[in-house]
Amino acid sequence: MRVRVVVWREEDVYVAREVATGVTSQGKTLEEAVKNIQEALELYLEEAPEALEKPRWDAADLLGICVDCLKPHDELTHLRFSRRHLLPWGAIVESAMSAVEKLVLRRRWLIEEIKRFERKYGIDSRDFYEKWRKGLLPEPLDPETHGDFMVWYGLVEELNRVEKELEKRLKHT
Amino acid sequence: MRRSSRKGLNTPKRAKDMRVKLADRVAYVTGKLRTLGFQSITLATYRPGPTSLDGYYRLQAVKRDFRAFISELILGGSIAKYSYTLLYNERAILRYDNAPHHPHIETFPHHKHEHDKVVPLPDHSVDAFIKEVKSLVKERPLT
Repeated sequence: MRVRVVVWREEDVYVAREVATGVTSQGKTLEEAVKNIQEALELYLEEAPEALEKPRWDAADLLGICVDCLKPHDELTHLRFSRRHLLPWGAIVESAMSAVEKLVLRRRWLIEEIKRFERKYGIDSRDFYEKWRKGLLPEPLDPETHGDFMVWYGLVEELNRVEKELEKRLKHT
Repeated sequence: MRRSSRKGLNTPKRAKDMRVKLADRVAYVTGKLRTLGFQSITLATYRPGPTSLDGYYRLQAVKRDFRAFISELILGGSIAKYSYTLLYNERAILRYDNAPHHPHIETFPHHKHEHDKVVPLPDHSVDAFIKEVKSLVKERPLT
């Protein structure tokens, strides 16, 4: 039984993925990522021992693309040259998904924060946004409210952007 | 996604590296105010976002009869929205903000309120604000 793990860097973490099962883990260092993927795989294989024999992805998926030269390579040979920069094809599909996931998380956070302001000021956010944008609300004299309004306005603006972006990405997939 | 994965450790410094984390920003601004002699610095709101590069906070600080209020919304490591106010004897004498309210101002949306006047704000950094606060505090010595 052969386990093939691909590791790449994403922002501040190393992401490790076993290519046949798609089991993914991460760590702050390469070593930590590998250690975590081992544990995750062990747990996974306890539940589904047949998983490794029936790869979810076929051989074509095991080609890697190097994000430095943007050319596909045989994953295992290229891995030796440019371990850090390697993305398997499957991971590109997955990372498109994780971008959506990130947007979903972001959207959730924005909505949660926006609701706090709605509760505090008793105004619907869309209503507030339009009025503040057009200068129809009186400028609050007290600096706390002014600060709140700036933040609230920015959060709604960001929510609009995130929702547009989400819509665009979901259309593509 | 590809771009972020590409961010190697040896790549030269880019604009991206100028991104600021919420926690670092609060520490920076607090430090600046403290250096100016402001005390009772209160972090009234601190809401971290989905990454360390997102979130918002509101703080206030006191020096004599001056009170400074700082609010910032940080998105993706940049200061997306801000409102910096200085009160003197509870009256606003200075405010920097980027509310989209004065399209005729050449630095729109960034602008400055000096008492009741709205004027352009070429440098909207918190450093510029703090520098101006410093000179205003100097101008009004304790009587």
